[in-house]
Amino acid sequence: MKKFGYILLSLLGLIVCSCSDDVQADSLLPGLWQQEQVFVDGVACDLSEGEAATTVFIESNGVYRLFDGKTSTVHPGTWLVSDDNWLNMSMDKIQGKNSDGTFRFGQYLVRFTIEKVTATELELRIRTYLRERKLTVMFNLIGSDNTDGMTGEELLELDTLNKQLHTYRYVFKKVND
Amino acid sequence: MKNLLIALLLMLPLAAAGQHTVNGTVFDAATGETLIGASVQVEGTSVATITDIDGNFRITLPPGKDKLSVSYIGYNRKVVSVGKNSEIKIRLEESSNSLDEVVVVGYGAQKKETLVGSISSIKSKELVSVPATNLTQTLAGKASGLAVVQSSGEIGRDEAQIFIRGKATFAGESAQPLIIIDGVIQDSFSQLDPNEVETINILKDASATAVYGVKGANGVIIVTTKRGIEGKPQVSLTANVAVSSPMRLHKPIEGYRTALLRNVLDNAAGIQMSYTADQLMNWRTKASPYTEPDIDWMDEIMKGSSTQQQYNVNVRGGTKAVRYFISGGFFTQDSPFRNDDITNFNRFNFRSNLDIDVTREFSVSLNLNSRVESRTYPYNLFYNSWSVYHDAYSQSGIKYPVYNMDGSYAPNNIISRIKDSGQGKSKRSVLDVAFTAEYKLDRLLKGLAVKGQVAYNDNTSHSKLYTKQAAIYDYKYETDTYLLLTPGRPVHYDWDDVGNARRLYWEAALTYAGDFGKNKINALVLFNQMLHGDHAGQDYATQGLVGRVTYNYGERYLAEVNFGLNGSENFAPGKRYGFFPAFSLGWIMSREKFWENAGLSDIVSHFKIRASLGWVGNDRAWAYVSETNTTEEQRFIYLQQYIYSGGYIFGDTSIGGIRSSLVANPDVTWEKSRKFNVGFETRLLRDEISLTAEYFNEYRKDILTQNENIPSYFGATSVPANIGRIRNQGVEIELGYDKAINRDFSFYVKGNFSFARNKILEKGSARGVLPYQRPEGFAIDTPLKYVTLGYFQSYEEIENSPSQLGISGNVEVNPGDLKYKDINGDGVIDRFDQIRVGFPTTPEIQYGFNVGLFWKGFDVSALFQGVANVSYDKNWEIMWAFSNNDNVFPRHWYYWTPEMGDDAAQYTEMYGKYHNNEAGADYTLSSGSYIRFKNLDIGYTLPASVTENIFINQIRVYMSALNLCTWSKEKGLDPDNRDNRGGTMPPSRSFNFGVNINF
Repeated sequence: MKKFGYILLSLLGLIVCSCSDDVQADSLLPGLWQQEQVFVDGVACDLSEGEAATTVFIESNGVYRLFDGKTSTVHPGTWLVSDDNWLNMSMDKIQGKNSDGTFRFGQYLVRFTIEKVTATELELRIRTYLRERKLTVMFNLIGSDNTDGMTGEELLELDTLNKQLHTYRYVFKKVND
Repeated sequence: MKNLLIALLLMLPLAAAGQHTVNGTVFDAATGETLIGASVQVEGTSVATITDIDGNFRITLPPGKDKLSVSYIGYNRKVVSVGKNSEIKIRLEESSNSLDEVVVVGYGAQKKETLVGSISSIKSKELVSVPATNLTQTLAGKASGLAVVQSSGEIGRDEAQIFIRGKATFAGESAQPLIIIDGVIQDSFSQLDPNEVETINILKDASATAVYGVKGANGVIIVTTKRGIEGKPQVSLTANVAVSSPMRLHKPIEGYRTALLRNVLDNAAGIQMSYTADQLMNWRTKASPYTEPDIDWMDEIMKGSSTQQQYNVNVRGGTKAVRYFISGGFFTQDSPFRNDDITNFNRFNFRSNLDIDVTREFSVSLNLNSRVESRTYPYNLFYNSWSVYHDAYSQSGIKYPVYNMDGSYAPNNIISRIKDSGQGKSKRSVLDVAFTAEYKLDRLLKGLAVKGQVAYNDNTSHSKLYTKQAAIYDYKYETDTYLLLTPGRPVHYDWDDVGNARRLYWEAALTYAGDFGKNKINALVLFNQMLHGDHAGQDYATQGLVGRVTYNYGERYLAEVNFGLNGSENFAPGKRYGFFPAFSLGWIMSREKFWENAGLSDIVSHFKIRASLGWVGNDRAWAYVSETNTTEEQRFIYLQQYIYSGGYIFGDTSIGGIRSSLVANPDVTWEKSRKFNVGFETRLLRDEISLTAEYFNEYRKDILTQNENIPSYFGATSVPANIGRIRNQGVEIELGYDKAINRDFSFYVKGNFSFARNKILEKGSARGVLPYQRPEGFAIDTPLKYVTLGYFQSYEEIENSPSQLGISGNVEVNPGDLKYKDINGDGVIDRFDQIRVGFPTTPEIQYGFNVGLFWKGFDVSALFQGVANVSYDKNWEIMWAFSNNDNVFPRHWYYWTPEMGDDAAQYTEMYGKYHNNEAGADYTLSSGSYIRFKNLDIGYTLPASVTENIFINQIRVYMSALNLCTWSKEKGLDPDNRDNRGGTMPPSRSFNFGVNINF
């Protein structure tokens, strides 16, 4: 009887483990998450008070709302988990400026790799260019470069800098479901 | 003496008591038809008889003998134990490898055993239970050297392309083989009822095709329909119902992900992203189906399945003097589209073949074939379904819903184009009549005969179109109003057209068959003429002289000489006629005394080697016409052509006029092909194993192709010239194993394999083309492409690699774009870095594997068929995301990003406005290789004890399937699809249920 029970448990375990990670992430992601840490190329960044106050409210219907604590702005968007461990988010990306000088955003697809997701922790990773990081509210807006007064050489140098690839890791903790 | 006589008299009853008389009937195991003239012999004795007109026999077995040996031409010999039975029924299995079999060849028939040509045969029973919609589809995988490519599954228009031994000429259409049905040249055999067909023979080498002269270069397919046989009328009823569904529908991804990717594309192009957060939310949550619709047009228009039905009744029989075969069939197929009660294809077939032996010397045959094809389509699908099917997978599903809230059609509506666009009806009536007479002139010379045939074909088509327009409204959400985009129009007459083509063919032949002991001679001289006319005035005529002499010494040494002398109107006087001879030799080694003395005949019952060398021709030419920007078949290419085009301005008035079009080439003549074939045939282990292997080599010259060395400032296009040369060679193998374990169980395994590789030797390429870019040295249709090394990983890698800005129209290269190989090493990627890569678009390798078994009344057969060494070149909508509307497919979701890298990427970065990735690289080439579970056939024949009680010879019920599964590297589309935009409807998978009753 014991042996039968162990076999049954193992089978159940296999079934559970063989379930798509999409299903797991889909059920664990909804809730309110607070940004806890950011790593750039493996080095932890010191978060400002505003950055530490950044939260993401993920709804189960595929919509989220990001509160950028640095700029105190709410950015809505959509999310979708695909292919086991991809978190696809449409995020605001600077496309230009409005007549009043504020940024004009467009919704841009950002694809993170879910490194870890549990009931309380979420770690996302993305490897992208510095320019993309600057323009996208990922999860704080750094802002576009101010090129006023730059020489040609400086512009070239800035362009080379913006084309560098970096790996960004974002760590969140769940505040509540 | 007296005692001896008494003893003998006493023994007689005893002797008679040991004898055993048996009455029996011999049947064909597959059809239930009785076999007349079957040989029945008591095993181990000389006591024998043959079956009578009803297939019956009566034989007395000597004492101690229990076994009967039954044999019949074309069937496996069978030994049965009689036991104590006085009545016995014996069923013989048809043998696919019988040496006594007679094979239809060009203008005659020969015994298979002494045939020296390369010919493959496909029998009727391999065709009838396949739920194919036309006959061409039933041939795939059934014979070596035969490539069958079905790229369309559109109803009424799904004929497969057929190539014999690959492709050996440039132009597409002129690579098709010649079709002969009952001795008369026809355009196609696809719409024949399979139940009418006796055999299909594939003639491959010059000895088989030389008699067809100019038309035989690409091989010949001879279809022979059934004929009457002496005996009681045998009626056969067949009914089939099949359910079909298209294989591999190409479906875009859903609206939400389409909108996401569109924004990525817009961003890459440097323009404002199309969709806002609110819109994306609506798609993600499906909260607003009218303003943010998510329409899968493929689901909206395609049914899960459609049905087809086929019925046939035929009767054959006759007396010694008069034999008949009459067949009537009906086929119907309904629409694969939803909301479509218009599309329909119906076909009625009728055939009557009558053979009359008027006297011992004089015999006549009358063949009558009639067919009516009726096609009805929605107006927008009348010519083909391409625009509708293509739009279903490429048109945006996120701009408009199918219906507005008030139920009216929304814009860009594909359903309205099917359901409410009107309809077109097309009816085609075909009539074939052939009368043949033969008179034996034995009184003049034994074996001499004169034969004549007259055949008439009438092909009439009538099309009528009615158009209609459904009203289309664009709903404006902001103002809650409906804007009429397209007003509705009721059904009204559009146009109609009547077409007619007639063909009159006649031939007169003198034949001789002489038997002088060990020497057998057969000879044929034949003259034929064909006149073709149609309503458009495109009349043409051909004529030719054909000859053949075969010599057989002692059934061991075989020789054959064929020739064809043909003329073609396409060439100037003095160049019209060509002489095409062929020579072949054969040696049946297994008949030699040394073979028997060495004990080989116990293992190898038959071994024949044969070889042939001959010349055949091709007179069809295709040329690019700049005025229509198409490639069209050309006639009278030795004459200067003029067209009504352009004009001149006199004062202020433009006056139209004629100008010269294609420039004449008075020197054109036919392309010539020299074909060499060598092979052997063998049968082993009491004829259970059969093996045929061949090597062929073809050299084709004077191929009609356009000369690319004429500069553009010449101002006109020249007609084709005889400047092309190609070599085509390969091997073919057919292997079979046929085993009867006992009376109740037998099985067979058959396989065929073909490899054919061609190489262009000369094509008239422009002299300025770089040597490594010229088509010469490569197979026909080998693509010219950049070689892709992978995706660029970083801007740094782009900086350190040869510049790709030399590619026409290329302004920017980013990570995730395709990186190309610098072929000439000059540090710049441009058009000089394209080379010939990949395999051609016609398969080099084909193979088929067929296994079947019979057990008591059950029969199962399975056919696997495949191709290899073939490329499939994709472009436009099926390759590039957003190249036409919102066409985005699953692989586009896996676009390259630095995070994903090469391992997960199935597509380039989602690029915007530049042309780096669409420059023409091997990135677009897929492997067209596949293996397909082509046919499965499972049947059950009711026991004779059951059917005979209701006066029926045989009832067989069966289930069959076509295109069950396909395994291929190409995942999205059917690999046989030759449409590089993927807009052609794919072939179908079908499941069929049928019954066949013979009585």
